[in-house]
Amino acid sequence: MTSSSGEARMTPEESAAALLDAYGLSELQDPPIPVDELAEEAEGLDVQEHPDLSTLPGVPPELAATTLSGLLFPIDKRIWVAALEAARSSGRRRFTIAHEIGHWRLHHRGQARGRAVFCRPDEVDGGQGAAKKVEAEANRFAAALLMPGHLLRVEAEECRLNVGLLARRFEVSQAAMHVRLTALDLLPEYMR
Amino acid sequence: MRIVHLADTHLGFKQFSAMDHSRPEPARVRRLRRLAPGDRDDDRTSAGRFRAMAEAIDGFTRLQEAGVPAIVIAGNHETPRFRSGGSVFEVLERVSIEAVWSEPRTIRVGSLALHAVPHEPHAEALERDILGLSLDTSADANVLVMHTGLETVKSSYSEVNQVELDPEALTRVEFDYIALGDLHRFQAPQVNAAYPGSLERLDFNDLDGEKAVLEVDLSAGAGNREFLRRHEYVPRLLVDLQVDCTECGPDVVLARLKGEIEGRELDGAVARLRLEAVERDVYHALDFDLIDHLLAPCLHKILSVGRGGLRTAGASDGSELSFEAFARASMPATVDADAVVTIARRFLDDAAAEEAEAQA
Repeated sequence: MTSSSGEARMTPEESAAALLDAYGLSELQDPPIPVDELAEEAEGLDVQEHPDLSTLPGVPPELAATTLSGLLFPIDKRIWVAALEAARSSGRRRFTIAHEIGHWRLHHRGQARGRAVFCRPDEVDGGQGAAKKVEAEANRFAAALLMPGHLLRVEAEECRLNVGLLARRFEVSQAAMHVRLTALDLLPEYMR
Repeated sequence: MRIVHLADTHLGFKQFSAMDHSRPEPARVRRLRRLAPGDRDDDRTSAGRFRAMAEAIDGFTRLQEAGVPAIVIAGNHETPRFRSGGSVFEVLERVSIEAVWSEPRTIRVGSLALHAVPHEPHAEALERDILGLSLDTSADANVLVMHTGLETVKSSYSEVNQVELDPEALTRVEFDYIALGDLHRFQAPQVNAAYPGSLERLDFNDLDGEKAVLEVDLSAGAGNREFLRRHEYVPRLLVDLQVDCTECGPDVVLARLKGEIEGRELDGAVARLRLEAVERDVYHALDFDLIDHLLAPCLHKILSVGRGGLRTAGASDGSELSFEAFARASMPATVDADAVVTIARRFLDDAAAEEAEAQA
């Protein structure tokens, strides 16, 4: 599958691998992946938090009553993360940032006037998968960025596929880890 | 080489409720039941823990007669609650069951080495026990049997004396299988470790997940499809009955109870009847024999007077309502207020009900 736009002919997984490679992390030995650094230093995206994203300037009025997890303003080169979610779970915060980097690389980078992206909680979802194609692609990108296959295989072997422990080491949610391990076909049937 | 793994029997410990609400029976009724032990009425006698123990010993005896060795370890409930009562494991040892309840022990069963580690109330001690074990290299398989929670496995259900082990500890030991107990729903937290879940839903907070008995084929090797086979079963039905008694007399309370019961499956169930907002005078005027009769199909029943306990006519219920408002107003923004309120209300429910029942 190719992405909808942006890095044409690259799958979300390939794009994530390319970013890790460009930042010298493709041979990383120990998790977690430094996603804030990747956003800010590799991609030049400013990461900010806000208690209510729907009140930020630039959010359309029809989303005023909507709970949002993350925003990407491509023109400002800024990612906004819901502060409450971030405080409750660093794994959630990291996944949201990675998800918005995914939008940036897959769907907006290089466009002269990239439109802002507004992501609801059910769209930034490491566990269930999103209905919209672009959101699903951003989730696949985030999973591949935060849990690169080569590193995850090594750690999974060492952790004897302990999903909770792997989630802790990679600083992601257990749901996101479970989905990633399933996608890589690493989990035996009795653990699915 | 196959083993069967089950856990969390709660043998000898309270079941279903902090208190047993069965009413004392006249001696003539007890004599009749002893004459007819197969009668299912016998199942409803108050001492469920002893009946369960008797059935368990029967089962262990059958295993022994069939040449199947059985090993049990102490979990978080096996600390004797009263010195005079002693430990349930003393009973098991009397009938030659291999019970490990004082210190870790390795038991050789044919070509299998079973490393049995009884519950410790402190995670550090438990971790020391595990890391102090040595694999039996002459055995075909080494199995660790232990009772613990894990820091990374969250449960909606909590119990006294529970400990949570750092899961890193389980990666530092090389057992073919780790037979875990403590968490009441089936789950395999790592490729060579599993919780079967409890044999029953042991109270009304124990509603999530599936229960199973696990069959482990050690020769298949962890990760293979044949390694772990789940034998699922449907645990005993729990029925939660709630009757709003606000401004109701005893007749209306019973009529509402009949309406609540109508069409519900009660046979063999454990039922909890919560009388919400019941006034003290109304409660004492209830026809408990009729309640017993209505709930007679149940194996066990728990009578609760709900949050707030028995009420005095005309008293304000403002204190009950103010907790949630106070909690929500005072909660830091970073805390999930709904989750805290839900947990707190559960504890308050249980505490108030126990207190009120003690008063009643």
